[in-house]
Amino acid sequence: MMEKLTVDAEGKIVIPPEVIQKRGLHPGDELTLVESAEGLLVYQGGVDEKTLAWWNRLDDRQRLLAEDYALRDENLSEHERDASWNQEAESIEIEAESDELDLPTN
Amino acid sequence: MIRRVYERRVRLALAKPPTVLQVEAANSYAHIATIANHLYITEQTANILKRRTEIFAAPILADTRALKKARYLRRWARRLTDFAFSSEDAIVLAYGSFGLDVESKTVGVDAIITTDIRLAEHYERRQGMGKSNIALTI
Repeated sequence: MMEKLTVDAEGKIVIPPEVIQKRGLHPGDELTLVESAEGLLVYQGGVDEKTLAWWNRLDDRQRLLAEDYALRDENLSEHERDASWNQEAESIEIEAESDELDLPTN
Repeated sequence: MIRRVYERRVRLALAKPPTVLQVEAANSYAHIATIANHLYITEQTANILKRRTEIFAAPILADTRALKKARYLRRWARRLTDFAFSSEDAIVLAYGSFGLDVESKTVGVDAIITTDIRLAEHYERRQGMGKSNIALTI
């Protein structure tokens, strides 16, 4: 869903009431303004069930550990991060076919 | 897609807001996990995850099964490059048709999930290239 918001002379934006209601926002709730590669985003927070379940399974020590590892990950350059996710690109050449398994016969 | 799911968790650990791509990937992953019998990743993705930080990667590896390459996978990937797919994209698509789940002895998947809009659009345009009737979903 996309909503167009207009900035007024004082730099304020008004969120349409239907969005306020749908997202369960209340006066005083904090929203984060995020400057990202995709543009300027208004972020409410909230976490999907899978990510939240993972986080909830971690104890305090594991969360500190996760934060430590996450800091290291975030300190990598974009190039280093891309490289680490693009390792071992799989060849499609005929010479590489020796590791292919026979199709199951049912 | 899996990269963005992983990165979403990294951002959460740092209490930092995620990017749009990370949110979309994590939401999709959470949704698919509720409706799919099995979630699969490629061998390459599994190998990369095994080398990454365990606290983030291990739960994703536990959620998913790594597909093996069955006979004809690369041959089909090479055929797909004739339709202007890059070799990297072609092999992912070929996994969709010739990826082998060793445990259930089944080949191929119903849908491939990607955050790559260009790949999805190109795939849509090329429907009818034969063999593949896999849904490719953003």
